[in-house]
Amino acid sequence: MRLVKRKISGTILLLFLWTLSFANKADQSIVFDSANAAYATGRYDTAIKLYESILEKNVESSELYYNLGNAYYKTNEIGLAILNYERAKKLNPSDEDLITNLKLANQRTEDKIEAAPELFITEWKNGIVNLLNETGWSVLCILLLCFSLILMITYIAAGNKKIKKTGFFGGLVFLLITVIIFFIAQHKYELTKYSADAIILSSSVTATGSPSEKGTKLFILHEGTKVTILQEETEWAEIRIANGNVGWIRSNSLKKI
Amino acid sequence: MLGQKLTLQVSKSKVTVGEPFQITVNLDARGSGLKIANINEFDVYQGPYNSMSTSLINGVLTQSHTLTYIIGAKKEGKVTLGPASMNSNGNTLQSNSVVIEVVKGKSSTTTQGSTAGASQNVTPPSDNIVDNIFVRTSVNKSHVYMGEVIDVTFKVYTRLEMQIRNFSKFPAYDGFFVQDIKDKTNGNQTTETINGVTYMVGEVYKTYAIPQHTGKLTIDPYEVECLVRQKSKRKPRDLYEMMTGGYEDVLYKLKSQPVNIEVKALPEEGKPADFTGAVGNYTYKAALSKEKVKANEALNLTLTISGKGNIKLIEPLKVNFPEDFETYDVKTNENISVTNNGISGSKTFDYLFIPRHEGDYKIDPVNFSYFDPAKREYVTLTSPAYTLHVDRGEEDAATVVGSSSRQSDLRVLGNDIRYIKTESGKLKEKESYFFGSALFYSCLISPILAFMTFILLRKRNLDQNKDAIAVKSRKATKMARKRLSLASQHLKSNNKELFYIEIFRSLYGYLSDKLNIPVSDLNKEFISEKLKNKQVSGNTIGQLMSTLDNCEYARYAPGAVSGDLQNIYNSTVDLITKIEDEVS
Repeated sequence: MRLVKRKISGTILLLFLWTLSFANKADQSIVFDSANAAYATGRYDTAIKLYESILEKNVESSELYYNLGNAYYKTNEIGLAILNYERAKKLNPSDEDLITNLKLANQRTEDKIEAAPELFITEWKNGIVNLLNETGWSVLCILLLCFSLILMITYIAAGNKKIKKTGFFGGLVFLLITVIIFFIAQHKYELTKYSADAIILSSSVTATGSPSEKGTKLFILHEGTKVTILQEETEWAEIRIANGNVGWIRSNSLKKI
Repeated sequence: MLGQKLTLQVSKSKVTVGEPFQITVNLDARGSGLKIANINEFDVYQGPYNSMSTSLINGVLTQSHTLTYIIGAKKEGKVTLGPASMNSNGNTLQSNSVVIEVVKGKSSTTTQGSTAGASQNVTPPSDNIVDNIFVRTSVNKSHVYMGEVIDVTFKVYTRLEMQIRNFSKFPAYDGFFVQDIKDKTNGNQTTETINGVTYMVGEVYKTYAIPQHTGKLTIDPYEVECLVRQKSKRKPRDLYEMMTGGYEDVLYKLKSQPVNIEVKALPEEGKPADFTGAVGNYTYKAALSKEKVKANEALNLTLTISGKGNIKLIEPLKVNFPEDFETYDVKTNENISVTNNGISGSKTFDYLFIPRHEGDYKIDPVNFSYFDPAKREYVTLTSPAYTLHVDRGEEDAATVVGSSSRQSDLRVLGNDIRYIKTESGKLKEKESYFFGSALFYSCLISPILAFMTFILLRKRNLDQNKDAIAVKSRKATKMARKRLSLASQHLKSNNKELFYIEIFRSLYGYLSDKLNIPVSDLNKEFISEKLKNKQVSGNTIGQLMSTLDNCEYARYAPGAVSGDLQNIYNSTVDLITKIEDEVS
């Protein structure tokens, strides 16, 4: 009897927490809608404040970053626009609107850096890995596993020899694909989680040869340029730009994607 | 000749830059080749004027030779003028030198305190020339807004009889847009009293200046050359001259003071977005030639701005025609008159456009904003919004014949980022990833578990099925033993003949039941065929056939059949069980 009571109270608590989280989400979707309304009427500063207030709740979505990027773009904050587009791209790499806007924003940056040429295999690999986000790959992996197991079951259960054969080899092939997709998902996950990419937010910053102001001046970067962080020290970060050049800049002049 | 003396005199020893003053070199003999040291430190405005006189008084011959210059200092500081030198009768004479202090500051505008009659007829001493005639630049206001019109008048103040020869230098208006009055009325003469002295004032020139940028702007000095009739300094030549006083015309160069204008920026407060710099007082009118047209017909939108102010600088207004219209360059007509009353008139902008497609179009109102300096506020005037109805136009023959398609290239009007997403999507916690999460692994492992469970279940099921087969065959054996119960009795009584008959009969009865065929229709071939169809193995069928053969044989020749009856009985039971298992 006591056990039943405890169970019921536990369920009620869970239910309560669930409704609470639901209410919280509903609140944020109201904030999101009002931010969109502000954007639609051209009050971009208000829209930015509202979008940022949702992000402060420690939640994120591709659409949220995308809209915030748009608002920053409209207020000519190109660096912040690119940062948010890149963050949106991490969550949804294949959105066409996003790709278009990111391209437009990148056209407005000052630095034109020719990317160092890549092996076509690397390019293919990157292209494939960037087709889906880590959740997408993970779900695909699970679905493929289920499918290959179903094929295996048909192999075991079928009476007809033909179906048995198809089930066996099909099951094997799909199991192999599942393993490959698992590794892709893992790769994408690591890329996303341990991303070392960052966007320059200072309007102009000089990269030096060592982490100090006295270091040899190597090159100048401008707002909106994408860099890769190689290592970090106090207040300084070693970065690599797309053409392969490496230098040190102050950490506060960039923001990680 | 003894007693010859050369003297240098100046009318003023303290002068301002550019202020004209007189120097006189006097020699009491005839001389030539005058040289004055440092004279090139000064601008020589006039001279030298030679004047010579000879007089015989009490038997003494007195000669004098006077040379007069009007000069002005070039720069401030102390300048030593002279000594002058001159040749006379083979001697070179040297004069004294004079120190002239040149100061910066007001020049000719200072008036002397002299109250010696305002009458024109009074001939002042020549030294006072500078005080009696000067030029002034006057403006109607010195603190203005950018774009506000300033009246600039150049006046000559005089107490002498004079004549303006020419305006030697037009002021360069740095930072001003200048509009001259076309038909200037020169004869505008007034009188003005400054510090109690009355002057004749002549307007030389009037212009309108419009400041083009903010800050301190300067109207540069203005120079006038004039001819002043003044009393001759030299001794009268004849009786007439003695009576009238002897006049001569002297050319003077007069220079005005620069005038500073403080230009304020237009107030930012309340500045309309479409303000383009019109300052003054205007009215605004708009007219559309037609409101109902056919496609491909030209139309005119006329905007007229009229009033007073910097109208000349008003740029054509921007009209937002529907994108589909073909528009042409704006035609601007001006009708502006510059008179003593100011700059006024009208400016007309003609917008020619052609709607190419039928439909209802809206032409947005065109705003015209200007700053009214008198009220110190912006005024925005608006044209009405027009609705234009365009009917289907008559296709001209060329289009119809030339091409049947009316397609034209897509016009790209601009480039902008894509619009925001209106669905917020699924908000997830930051830094939370599906891959590697417990959910992910459980999703990955659960199908495998399900698979293994399936295999296990299937195996158990198979085992159970196997048991079912065993049960079935046990049943079949039981049934076979029952059917063969008579045969077993015969076996016990060792009645060979009856035993075989019974075996044979039992098998036939069993097969007849199993295959659902009457006993009368049964024969060996038929049985074998039927059993084959029922998937009974050939081995079993062969065994069955040989058993049946044995039984038939034993029925007709019991003695010839050898073998243990017990064995035959067992194998028959086995056979029935087998058939029972295999028949499907």
